[in-house]
Amino acid sequence: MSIYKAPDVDLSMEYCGLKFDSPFVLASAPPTDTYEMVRDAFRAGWAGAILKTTSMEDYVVDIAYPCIAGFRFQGKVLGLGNIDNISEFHMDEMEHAVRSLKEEFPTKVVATSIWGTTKESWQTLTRRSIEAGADYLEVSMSCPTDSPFEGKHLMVGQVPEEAYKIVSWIVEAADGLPVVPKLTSDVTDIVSIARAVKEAGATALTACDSVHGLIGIDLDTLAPLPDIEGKGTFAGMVGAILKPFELRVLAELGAGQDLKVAASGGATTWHDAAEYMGVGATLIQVCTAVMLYGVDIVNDLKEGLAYFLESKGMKSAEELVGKALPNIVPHPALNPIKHAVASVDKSRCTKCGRCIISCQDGGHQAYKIDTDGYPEVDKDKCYGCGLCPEVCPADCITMEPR
Amino acid sequence: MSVAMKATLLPVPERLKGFDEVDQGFNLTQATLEANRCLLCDNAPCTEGCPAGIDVRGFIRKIRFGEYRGGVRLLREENILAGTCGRVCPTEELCEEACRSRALTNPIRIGALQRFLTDWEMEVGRRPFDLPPATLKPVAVVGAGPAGLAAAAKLREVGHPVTIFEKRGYAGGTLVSGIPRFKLPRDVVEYEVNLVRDMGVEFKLNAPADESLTPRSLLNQGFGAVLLAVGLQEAYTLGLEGEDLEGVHTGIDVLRVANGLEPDQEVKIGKNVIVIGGGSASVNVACDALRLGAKTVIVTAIGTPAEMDAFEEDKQQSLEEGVQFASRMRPVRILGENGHVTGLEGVRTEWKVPGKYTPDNMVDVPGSRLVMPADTVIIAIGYRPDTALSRCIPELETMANGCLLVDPETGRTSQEGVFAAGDILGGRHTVVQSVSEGKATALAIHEYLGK
Repeated sequence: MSIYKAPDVDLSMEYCGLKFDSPFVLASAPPTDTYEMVRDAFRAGWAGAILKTTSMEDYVVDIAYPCIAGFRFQGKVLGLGNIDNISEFHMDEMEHAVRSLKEEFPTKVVATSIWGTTKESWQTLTRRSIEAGADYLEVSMSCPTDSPFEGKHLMVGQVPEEAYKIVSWIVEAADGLPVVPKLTSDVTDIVSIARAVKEAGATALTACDSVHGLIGIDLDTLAPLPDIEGKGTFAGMVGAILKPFELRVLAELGAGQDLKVAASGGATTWHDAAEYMGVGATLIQVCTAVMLYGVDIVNDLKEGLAYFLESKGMKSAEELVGKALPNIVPHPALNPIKHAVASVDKSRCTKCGRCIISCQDGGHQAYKIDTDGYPEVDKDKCYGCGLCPEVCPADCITMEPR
Repeated sequence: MSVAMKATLLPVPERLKGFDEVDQGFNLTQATLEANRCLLCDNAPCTEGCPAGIDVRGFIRKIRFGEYRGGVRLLREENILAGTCGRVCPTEELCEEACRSRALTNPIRIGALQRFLTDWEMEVGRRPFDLPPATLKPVAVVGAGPAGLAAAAKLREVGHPVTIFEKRGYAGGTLVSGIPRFKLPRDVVEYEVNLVRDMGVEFKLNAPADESLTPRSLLNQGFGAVLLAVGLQEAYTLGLEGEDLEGVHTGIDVLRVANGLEPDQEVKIGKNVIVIGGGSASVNVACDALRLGAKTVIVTAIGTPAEMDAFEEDKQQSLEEGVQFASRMRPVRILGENGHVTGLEGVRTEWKVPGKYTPDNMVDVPGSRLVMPADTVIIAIGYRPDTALSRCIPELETMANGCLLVDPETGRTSQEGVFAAGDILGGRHTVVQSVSEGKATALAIHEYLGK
């Protein structure tokens, strides 16, 4: 039991006309593949879940295992890649999951995510979601590993006309149930896709799906990772590496269209969530962080966000949504002068010289070594470019105003 | 980063100038790097290894995820003295002993991470409390040491009005008088005592448990239960010839003087000091003697430094500071001239059975008598209950050494409504063990009083 007062902020969010008790929901992905997994997540405190994408019973789902490999950099997993597919459980299993979850957790939001191949299958999956009691529908039109549009490796979400057509079919069958297309960032102009699906009747958006990539090449077999009998394929990349790209997409959607957006991709901590909300996200979908750390991270997310909002004098999480958007301007709008100069806190400096190497070979050659062996900045030569604080292992370099 | 972050220690010459804290703690970068090393195990054994029941994995993950406020919440939920314990816990025998990171390189420095969070809280300020009104039956706690403070906080947390009666003029007990300031600065103790005070616990200082303040009188005054957390107040002596000489002191008096408190008997530290001991307290006393002006300090013990029953960190520090050890030696008599100490006579010992380092396994080496010159001898071999205590509560069942006998589950004494926790139960107590007992006994009292 905490002896300290909890922050007095309202974390609840409204999205698709539905109330979520916090912005944190499980993305349509492996952690939402079964009733049991979502049940445990709801018990841990998640506000909602989009079940893993499902299909008609006669649709064959092929998956070659292993389907996951990590993107490692200097020994650390920065992201995962997968050659997974939609769920191996079909709509009948998902109907059962929706019914059980809604009965046990009436205040939690449960959505289905559907994948059809024909107008009929998309519409049947839509009607069956309604009958099972789903709160809304997510349309999987962006899975990089299983969207063989017209036989090419192209996703429905990459073609505005196709996206419009499919969302229209679903909306026609949805009978007012909110319809949320899940977009891909693998496009030239995501706003044009968003406008197309809005035109087709979409209620809100999820952005984005995993990002098309090739995880790596095994240099013994020269096969892509994960190696399946000496072969491999393009994968969906997920996890922390996606964050800057996700922020960019959210900012573009936040500025360029007016549907509410659920962020999906790259959020691990409350910091990430708060930044996503700042650039316009209403909900934060999480998958990889749960796969890495477990469902109980939702408490870290909620508590951290609540303290942050309180520290900013905000009473509700809704207040944060879009707050950073006015500060994102085109590059020419920035004042093109040297604003800062590097400053070294010698009391914490280890004299490793990484700043000197980077400045000498990649900066403006503004560092020299003082008589005690510490790095010293020549203020006239320093442009304040911002490189040296990022290479300093001791976090002892700051950019000070000029 | 796979090897444990080293502690930043004050250089020895600077240490010996005063009583500043030796361990400077982690800065943000160090804490982040160390937290990133944590394996974030399933069924984390560190949590199992914490007597206070802190969610260790949870608070380290909070540091890793940049959520310090929540990390502090997790610490204070289970241990109101978390800043103290982060400094003085023998973590190498508890949470860090259990740490699975050991299998890869070495354990996560859990104590230092805990301290990082509580230092952060001291710097930025704590959150307001959110406690139920104190409407349940009032409880009296006798003694403001770690067991009493932890119990009082827990009792207040579940809704009891609590009054702490403390014999001394300050709260904190052994945290203030028995642990050197260079290990546990006074402001850390004061901060945590103030947490308990700000929770609404009333402190009555200069209120010794004597004939006028007995458990019975407290129950008669309307307290629903009494918790005795009086600690061990008197130093053991060896009954050696020469103990009454000028220049012979108890370890507790030396610790008190070094911590800026009044000793029971005047303390004068000379140039050549011998500390008779072997436990962590004696090693701490030796380091304090150096700070009080001694030129040479020798600790005599029945074991070698490796065999001594002192915590590793304490031994390491004393070696760094130049404390010397006269190992496997039994003191025989304190020598003197003109009423003042001139040395210690001892005899070499060896172990009857190898590997068992207890006094009953010790045997003198014939013809090995030796004399070590000294102008000060400090006896630091442990504490025993206050003799005044047994006079004021004769009805309580005790062990031969005067420590109280209780039901180990609940801390109930032989007297109805009277409970006990902490050092007064005997055994080798650490601060965190007292916290653990204080909390458990508080909940037993809560149960006893019908909630």
